[in-house]
Amino acid sequence: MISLIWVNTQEWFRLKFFQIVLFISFLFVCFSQLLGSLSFTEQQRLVVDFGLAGIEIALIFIACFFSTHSLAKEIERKTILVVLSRPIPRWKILIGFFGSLAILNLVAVIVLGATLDVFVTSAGEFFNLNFILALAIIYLKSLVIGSIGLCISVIARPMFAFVLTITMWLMSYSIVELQFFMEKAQIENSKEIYAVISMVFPQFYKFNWKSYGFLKAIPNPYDISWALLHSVGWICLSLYIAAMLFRKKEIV
Amino acid sequence: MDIIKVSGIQKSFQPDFYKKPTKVLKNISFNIQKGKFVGLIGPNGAGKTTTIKCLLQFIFPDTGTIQFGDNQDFLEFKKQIGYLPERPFFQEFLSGLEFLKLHWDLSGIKKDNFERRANEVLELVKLVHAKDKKLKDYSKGMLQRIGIAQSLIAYPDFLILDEPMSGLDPDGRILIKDILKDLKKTNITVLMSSHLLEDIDELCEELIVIHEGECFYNASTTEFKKNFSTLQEAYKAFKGQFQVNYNV
Repeated sequence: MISLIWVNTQEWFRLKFFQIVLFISFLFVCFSQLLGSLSFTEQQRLVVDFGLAGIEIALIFIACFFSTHSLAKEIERKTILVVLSRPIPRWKILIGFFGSLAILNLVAVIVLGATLDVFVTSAGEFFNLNFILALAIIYLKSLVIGSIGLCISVIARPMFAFVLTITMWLMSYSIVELQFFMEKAQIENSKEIYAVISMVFPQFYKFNWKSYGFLKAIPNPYDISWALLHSVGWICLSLYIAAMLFRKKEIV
Repeated sequence: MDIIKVSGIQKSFQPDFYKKPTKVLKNISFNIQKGKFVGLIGPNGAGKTTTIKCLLQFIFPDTGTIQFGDNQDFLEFKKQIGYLPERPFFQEFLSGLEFLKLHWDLSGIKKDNFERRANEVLELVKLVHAKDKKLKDYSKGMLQRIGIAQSLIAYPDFLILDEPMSGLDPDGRILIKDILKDLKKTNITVLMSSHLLEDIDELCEELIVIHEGECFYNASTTEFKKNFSTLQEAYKAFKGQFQVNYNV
């Protein structure tokens, strides 16, 4: 399985797509510094808010694209056939893809996080543990979205799976707004509908810590544990469903 | 002793949910004895590759059974299998040696030395000189040969070769035929699908003939061509039984 992770990672590192996304995200983080320097009073806030948002978008984009295209690409090119003929269970192939995604996004978060840290420090902010926590949570969210994308890609075509996965990510931040509008519109059974929606989508809005305000606040250990368990739970569930679906998927 | 026993497998494909399913395999039954070289022949679209995909569980038959070895678990049985796909599409950014290492690792062999085994198979397929070259720089014949090396790397007892000589120039064909002749001296079982009847005639002692998703023959090659001088003539006579529509 480690060989599979290594080969997939090597392949995606070589792809222009990954390099371009990383470069654009780097520019985005640099742009946050430029934007911050235009402000007199909110310089640090702008750098941090803009930078962390850029890192999350980049990581989610990589996760969505990688997770929804990696399996389909292997099937389309038929490189998966010789791998499937080897004595490894099919779920290990999926874990191989997930492992590669974890490495790719780890590299991305380290590179972009370090860049942002340089800007934050140059803006007069000292190194903060909350900054690492914010990056770790962004990374964890990208893994959740990656595992969901991988699960959808087993049954759907890559572009459709990509759109669905992006929708999952957007919905994971919009559940509260949705609840608010349902209550305002006085929709019947809105509480039940909200309960179902809360179960179907991850609840990223509960740990949306990519902001300057969070860097200044002391994190609540309960919230951190909840975020961690919630994310790991979603990853395990998505990978389990993906493995079940992939077990009987026909590779024509 | 049978290494594989296939009984009455059927397989249909439905290209889209609103389309009628097409039956690709109607009734396939055969068995492959240990240590034999078996040829799988039939026209294009007869179901040769689909049969192989069913054997390797890339796809799953609608009905029928496939018994592996002594009723072994398939994952366990796969340790004995080496497979060369119809088209050698491999990870082209890897070198020949890295590609073999990947398959060595996936096979889970721990007891032996990879370098020694890799050199053995690379020597067999005459690719020692190109082991550090990227697969994207390999020619079609070289890819086919590294594919064979990949199928042999984990000491398989049963080789499944899907059209190993298709699209090769005469030199490439001769080389692969020589490799297979060398393998024949060992006690390996080979199932080889091919359109090239002279190659099957030369290499295989057993024959499976598939036509329009049905298995019509599963016995010795000598028996199949007993009244004819070559396998090609025997196959021509066999095909004479069917109304062949070349417009399809």
